[in-house]
Amino acid sequence: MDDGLLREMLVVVNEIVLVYFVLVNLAQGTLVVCGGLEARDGMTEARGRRWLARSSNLLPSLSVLVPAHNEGLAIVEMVTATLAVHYNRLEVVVVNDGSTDDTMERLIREFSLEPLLRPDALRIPTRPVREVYGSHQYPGLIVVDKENGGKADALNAGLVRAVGDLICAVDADTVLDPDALVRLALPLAQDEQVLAAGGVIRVVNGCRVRFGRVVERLSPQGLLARLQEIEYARAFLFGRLGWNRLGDNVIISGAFGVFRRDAVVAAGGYRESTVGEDMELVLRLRRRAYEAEQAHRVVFVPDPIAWTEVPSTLRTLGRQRSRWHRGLAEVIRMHWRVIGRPRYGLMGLVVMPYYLLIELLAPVVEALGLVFLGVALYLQALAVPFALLLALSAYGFALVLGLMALVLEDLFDRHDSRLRDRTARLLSALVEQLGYRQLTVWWRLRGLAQFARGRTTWGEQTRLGSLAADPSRNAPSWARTDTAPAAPAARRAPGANTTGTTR
Amino acid sequence: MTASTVLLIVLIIQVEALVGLLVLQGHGALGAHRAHRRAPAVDSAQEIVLRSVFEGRVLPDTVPRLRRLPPSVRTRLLGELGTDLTGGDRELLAQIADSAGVLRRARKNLRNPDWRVRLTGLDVLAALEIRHRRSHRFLSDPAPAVRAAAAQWVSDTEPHPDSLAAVADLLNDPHPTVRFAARVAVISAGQRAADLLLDCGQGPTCPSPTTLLSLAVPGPGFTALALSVADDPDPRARRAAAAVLGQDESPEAVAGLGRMLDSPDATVRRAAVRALGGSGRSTDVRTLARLAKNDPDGLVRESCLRALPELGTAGRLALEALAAQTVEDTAAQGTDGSTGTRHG
Repeated sequence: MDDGLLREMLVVVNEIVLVYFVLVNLAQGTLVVCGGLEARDGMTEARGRRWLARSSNLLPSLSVLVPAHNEGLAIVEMVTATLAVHYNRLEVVVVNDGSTDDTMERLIREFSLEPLLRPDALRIPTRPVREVYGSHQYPGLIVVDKENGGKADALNAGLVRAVGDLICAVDADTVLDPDALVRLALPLAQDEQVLAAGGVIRVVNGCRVRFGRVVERLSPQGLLARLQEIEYARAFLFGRLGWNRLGDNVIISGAFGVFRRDAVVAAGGYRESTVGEDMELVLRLRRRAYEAEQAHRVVFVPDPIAWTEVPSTLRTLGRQRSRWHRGLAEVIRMHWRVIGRPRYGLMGLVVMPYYLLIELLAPVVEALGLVFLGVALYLQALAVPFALLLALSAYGFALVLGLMALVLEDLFDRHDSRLRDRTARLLSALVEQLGYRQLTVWWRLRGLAQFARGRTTWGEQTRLGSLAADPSRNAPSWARTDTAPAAPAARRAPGANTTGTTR
Repeated sequence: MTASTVLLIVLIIQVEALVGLLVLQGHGALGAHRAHRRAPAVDSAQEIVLRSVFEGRVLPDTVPRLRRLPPSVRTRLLGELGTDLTGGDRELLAQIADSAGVLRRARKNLRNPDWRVRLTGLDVLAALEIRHRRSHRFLSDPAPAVRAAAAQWVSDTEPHPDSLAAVADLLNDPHPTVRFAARVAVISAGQRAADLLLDCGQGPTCPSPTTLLSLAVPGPGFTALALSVADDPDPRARRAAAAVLGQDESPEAVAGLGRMLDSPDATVRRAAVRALGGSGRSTDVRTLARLAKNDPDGLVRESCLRALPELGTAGRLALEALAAQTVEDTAAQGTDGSTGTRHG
């Protein structure tokens, strides 16, 4: 190829990357500002809601859906803690999705489960259900034992057997703050237009947990978990808060979100053909509402908090991130018709284009930018000071976002954190861009490649499934600590494991 | 403007933002550090306050220990304790709060132009159920969060008709949080408050029948109101009416619910089924079993299946018969049984 032509091409590509970079800066900067404003108001409002404690009889009944596949190590503690969450009309529906470990046996033993008659009239197809169980000691607990069919299938099996007006999907490694469900259900109780609400998810690794509750927030020990802590804060505290301020939200995390059950049933339940089932469901609900010209909202509530364990090895983290990005690509493909169409309001004109251009394509542009920048520098098609400026701005902007997330987290932090932990978090934010960011680009590119190849599986679930010689090493940290179930004494099953130490 | 200039401007803005954020982080870290060092003093103050409450008198060291804490910390502490106490205990806590300067500060906050500060003041006064001669003013505060908190405050501290009528006005507030908080306030004020609202009539400031029924308060007046809207074209009104009728065992209420079972709107039928299920009357078993088999709407059929076990042995037997039939139908259709349930 002609050297001059190549240089010109490189300059054009770099200019495209630059324009993209400025656009990303503007979009995310807007979200940061909006998120900050929303956080400031939201926190004050949350503190002023003492009347919420008296509203329990007015809140709709709620079913917590817990899909569980090979979660035997911590499922009993998780369920006991969830049953003890403050909520007046609460039901916990655990769906054992064809576990090959002792998940089902432990549930039957610890909660004295007995077969229960709960026929379903909804005709949402799922993999065959072997049995539905209930418990006399724990009237709010239902366990559905079914053949393995994946997370969406498990959620559908729970959905059709739940009785709550609202459903809340949580992962089996999630710990809920005591008032998390009350706060999360409030927007749906007070406004019929709200279809779904999502709360904040934080990293539980390293935290001190007693009686199934996070009592002291401590920073995780490993750098990898600390880096994810910053990512979570960034995603929840200004990504979603920012969209809230702008009036539109399309993601409710699969690990902690509340939906109107009748709306989910009417939409046909969770879709199994994507690993991004949470975002897909929200988009489908909203599409249906737009098409029926029905006023609706999906909101993010910043004060209810759920805690989840994050991967502690590069391998599991890489798989998780690839899966998330593949899920995003699948969902955008399923709903591409929404993009750019005024009929779908802000969702069609702004939110979906944002997810396509900035979230989905970001790793491609970033990787291309890095490669072309290197080549352009090598061929001297680009001045070194300009390249340095570009690199510094990119690093600086990411750093601003990371620090902003930490500042916002301070606003919402109801758990004291030690100076040492804060310093560790700050240092992690500073080094996040050096290597970790590039790794995430690689993982997301891998997710896109999997999407292109048409991969549809979840892949191996190593969080609890791959038991090492010392099983406690693989248990979620909250289950390893001195977790004693906080069930009321009268409802505790005779002989129930109250030490909380998992095997 | 060249690309380099653009980048340079971006970089300068970023550096400024970074400096600001680092300052904020430092400030936050300092605050956390202070809070950490202050924790024993807070625990000690909390302990002596609770001991005072337990003993029913203000122990000598209580106020000095509280005064050693920063005003915002002692305000929050007493506000949180106030939420958990009632009656005489709360009154004693209010006395302590007054001596520790918390009430004076809260009243001063009420005059602040920033709604967030007003809310902080109102929050502690509401938690301690302290009366304020101008508490009504906050029911029309421009900030929805303040109006919502004021609803509970006014209904707790001034449970007389005028105040409750003012709180009830908020049932028609444009903001959903305020409407909901007003419902909570009216319900927590008890049956008398609900009856007062019922007597309000059809005036322009009175809550609509749907709003009144959404309080789901039982009683002959509310049953009559529910029956009057049982054929209302608005399904929301009929749903709210069903919830009220379900709490009444009179033949009129049962007949009203029966009419709703034939409603063309599935959400109304579902509300009626739930109300019948909640009533626990075994006489409704046949109706629910029929609907569970024949209703065209899946959620209505499901509501019937969920309601049947609530209706005693007859309901449970009907449910078993229905479930057995479902399994047979599924087998006859040769499906994989994915929607059925095998039960013991």
